[in-house]
Amino acid sequence: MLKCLLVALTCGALHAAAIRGTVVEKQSGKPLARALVVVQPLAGSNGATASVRTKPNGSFEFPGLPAGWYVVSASKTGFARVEYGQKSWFSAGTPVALAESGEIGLRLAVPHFGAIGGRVIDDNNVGVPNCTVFAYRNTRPPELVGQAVTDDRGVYRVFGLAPGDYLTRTGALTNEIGVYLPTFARESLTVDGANGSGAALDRDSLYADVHPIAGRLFTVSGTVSISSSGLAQATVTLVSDVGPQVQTSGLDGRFTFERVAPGAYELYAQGFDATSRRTVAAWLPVEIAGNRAGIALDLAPLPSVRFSFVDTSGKPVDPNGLPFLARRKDLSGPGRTEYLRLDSGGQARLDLGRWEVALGPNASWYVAGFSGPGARTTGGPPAGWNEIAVAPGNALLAVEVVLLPHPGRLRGVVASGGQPAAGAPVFLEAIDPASGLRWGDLRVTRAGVDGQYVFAGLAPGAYRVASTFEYQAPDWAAMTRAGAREVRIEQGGEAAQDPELWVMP
Amino acid sequence: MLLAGAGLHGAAIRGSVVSYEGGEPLSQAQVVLRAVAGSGGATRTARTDSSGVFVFSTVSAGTYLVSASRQYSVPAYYGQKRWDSAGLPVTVEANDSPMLTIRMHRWGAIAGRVVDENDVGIPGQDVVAYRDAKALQAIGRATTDDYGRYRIYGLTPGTYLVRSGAKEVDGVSYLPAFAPSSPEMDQARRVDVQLDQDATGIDVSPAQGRLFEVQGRVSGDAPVELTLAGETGRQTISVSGSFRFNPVAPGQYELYGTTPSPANCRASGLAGAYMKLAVDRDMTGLAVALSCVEPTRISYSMPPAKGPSRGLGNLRARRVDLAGIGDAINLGVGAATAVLAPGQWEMLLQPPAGYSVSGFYLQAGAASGFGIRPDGWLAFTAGGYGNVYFSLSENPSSLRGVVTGTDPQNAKGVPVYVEGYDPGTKIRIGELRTVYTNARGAYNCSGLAPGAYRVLATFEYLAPDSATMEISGAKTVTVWGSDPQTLDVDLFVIP
Repeated sequence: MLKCLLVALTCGALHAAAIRGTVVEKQSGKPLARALVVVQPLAGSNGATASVRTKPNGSFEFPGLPAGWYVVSASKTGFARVEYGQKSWFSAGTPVALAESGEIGLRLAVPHFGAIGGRVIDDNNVGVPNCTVFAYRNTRPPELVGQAVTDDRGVYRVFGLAPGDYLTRTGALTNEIGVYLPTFARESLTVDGANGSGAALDRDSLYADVHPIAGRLFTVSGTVSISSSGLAQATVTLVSDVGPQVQTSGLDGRFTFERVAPGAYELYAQGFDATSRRTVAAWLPVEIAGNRAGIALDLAPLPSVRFSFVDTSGKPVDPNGLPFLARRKDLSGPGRTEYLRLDSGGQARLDLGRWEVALGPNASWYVAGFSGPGARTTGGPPAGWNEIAVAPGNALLAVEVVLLPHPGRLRGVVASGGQPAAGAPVFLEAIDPASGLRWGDLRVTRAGVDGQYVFAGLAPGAYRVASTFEYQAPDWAAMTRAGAREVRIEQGGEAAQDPELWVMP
Repeated sequence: MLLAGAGLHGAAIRGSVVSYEGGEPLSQAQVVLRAVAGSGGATRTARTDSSGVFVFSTVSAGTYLVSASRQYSVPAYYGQKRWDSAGLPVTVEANDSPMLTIRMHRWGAIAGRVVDENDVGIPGQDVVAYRDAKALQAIGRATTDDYGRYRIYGLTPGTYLVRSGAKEVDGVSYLPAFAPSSPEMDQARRVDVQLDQDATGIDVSPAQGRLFEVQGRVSGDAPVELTLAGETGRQTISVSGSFRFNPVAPGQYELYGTTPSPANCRASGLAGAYMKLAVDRDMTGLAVALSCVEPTRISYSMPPAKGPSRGLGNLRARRVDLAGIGDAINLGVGAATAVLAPGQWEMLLQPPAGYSVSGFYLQAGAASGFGIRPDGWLAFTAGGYGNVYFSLSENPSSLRGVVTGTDPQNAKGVPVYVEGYDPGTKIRIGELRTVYTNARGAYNCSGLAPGAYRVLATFEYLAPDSATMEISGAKTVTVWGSDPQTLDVDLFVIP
């Protein structure tokens, strides 16, 4: 089949083929209107990525496609994305082979995400209304992923969850019934005593009841001011690991946050100085163990952050065209990733707080060094995310990024039973030479029609590579199960590794 | 021995508060014990313990009303026939110790799904519940989950309409629709809501149609809180310079916003803007010009206090826009200015004891308050220069009488409802007043502004609305001057 198709592909003039099908709700089989269906040709196939929305009856059609191999996926708001041919939710889809003048009919069944629910209850098993419940991935530290508020019966439901293990925790709560501390299900102030809940697609896990523990909450208050013009009004944000609380200070600059649970917080304030017509801001990490009054937040113009890019000899490197990424990070986790916008002087305006910066995939350069205010790498080499602190009190903060040219490449052929494995997902992870564990983010590509794959823009170091349809984003342990092979990448070098397609026994 | 002897003096009233549905004990419910005038002692409160139990010890012999309240439960009165009827008084003799059980209802709810043409749920859809009345007044809201499900709770029993909002999702726009699938109110399904129950299966299938953009630019660079209000609700966004709301259905809208501006607007510290929009196409390039909000100056005219100053009364205000009446805010006692965002507002002066609001005059702004009785909510336009004058009169009118048509023993603690009333429009003026008869069956309602009132004495209702006052045969009376008017009323019992 593959040989025939390859022959067809090399013949040049091809007759158009088509992929048709329907998208349905997996649970009910009802047609899904306006689902987004995407066909993506494998490397080595003709044609380009195309997308279409399903008709009211759930049908879709891609007429006029060149013959080749395609990965077909479907998504819709409120549903999990699926790829055609997935064995399970965590496995990758299998590409379909479209012959010249051929026609393929597909049915894609789209599941709902998982949900975790339960009740927040008092001593008499009576529901506690209007209580915010947070859902975290069951990691250390827990990662906030969603929230909900209990209804009049004390019932909550956090939805849109990928399959996995989660923890639920109530927020600080004061009502006529009492004062309660943030409490993990079923009744624990600490992560160690928390009950986990499993989320699965198309299923509600509804037994994550929480019985909040009574305790004492505190008041955090203070004043924002502008040193040049005195008191000011500003937006003040108090952030903890369960997210932000926002308020606008009074005309006298005063702010007060009531019912604050003990713990670590960050205070941000941002306002507008009508005199200088500039945005002014303040940032202050605080530890709350009792009432805190008289916190002074002096608003100052946002510092400029000047990025300089040099090579190892100190020679400037032109950053134009390089995809630098940035994301703000607070106690509730990293924010949205955006492209770092630099002006002609290499300066960027970043809000106060901690930021992470990385160079996106790039075939010409890799980051070999990073320095700046409070700089540290976060869970990987400098080629991954690097943290800086944009603190008040400085007009200009300098960040230096050391770039090296000629990153390495890794290429190879994925084989299955001696044949190239067309469209097989290939996974690459950098590993810490000391611990052997993953360092930084997983990289994913798909083999082409001939089984060939390439990873470019790799910083020198140790890596592991594996290929399998069984996973979409394998963790370190899954990579090990999939027979990941180690490979070393040198600067400017091109390593080769031909992984065998792994199939779960 | 002495303590035991002391404990024998006085009665005790004890009891438990439980849920109506399952009978579970309700902890931390607030229980109020109020003596009927001329009987017993002062009003006392207690909270139920973790077993739902409350105790009022050393209670004087007398007649009492007992009530319980708890978050998200229907306030309950001991002895009430229905949830919306008044409680019956409890009479205790010395050394009595009655045990009362108060059952608390849960408010009603409406639940259903918002679905597309294939009966697949539409997530993230706003759903609004309205009272079934000519003028739509949103009572409750919810947003659909990933299965398109919604549940609107906290609803008083009655008939409701349910409408989904405008929504863009997956490349298509849905127009607002009443359940089951009509854009028109007269074809909407009427939903009967009862306590302790969910009215389920109230699905909405909205039609697809065209929504319109509302976008533009606010003058200046300062961050502004901008609100777009329409019949189906409000969208509020924080903007700096340009703005864009989620697309909206065609219709009438109000656009308003404010920003702190202490340097440029020294009088109010606030800049704002207000405009009306008729959206029948994409509204792009809207220019929203901020100008300084002028404080509305409030003046009070009242006779000099004969005794210690009693203050000028508490002033309250609430915004009224196309989405309905907003929450009331307190402007304070004797407020001299009101800094309110531009737009339509209503103001209510709650007079100090011994006074009534006898006059209201607007020097500028909307004249819609003119001719309306000054003791109710008074409409005016805020944001521009304006003066509001209130006149307070000493020795306001009062209404007194006895409740007749029943055994005098049963006329104790009867709720008497006094409603300010406009005979022309037949609408209620201000808020309903409730007084209780004393141990002799007499009532006294003081602090009334001159004008027409309706009076109803009954245990059948807790807070009767205007229509209920009408069908229950409430008596009409006009009060004037400072001399008490006398009006005896029969106890109304539903036949």
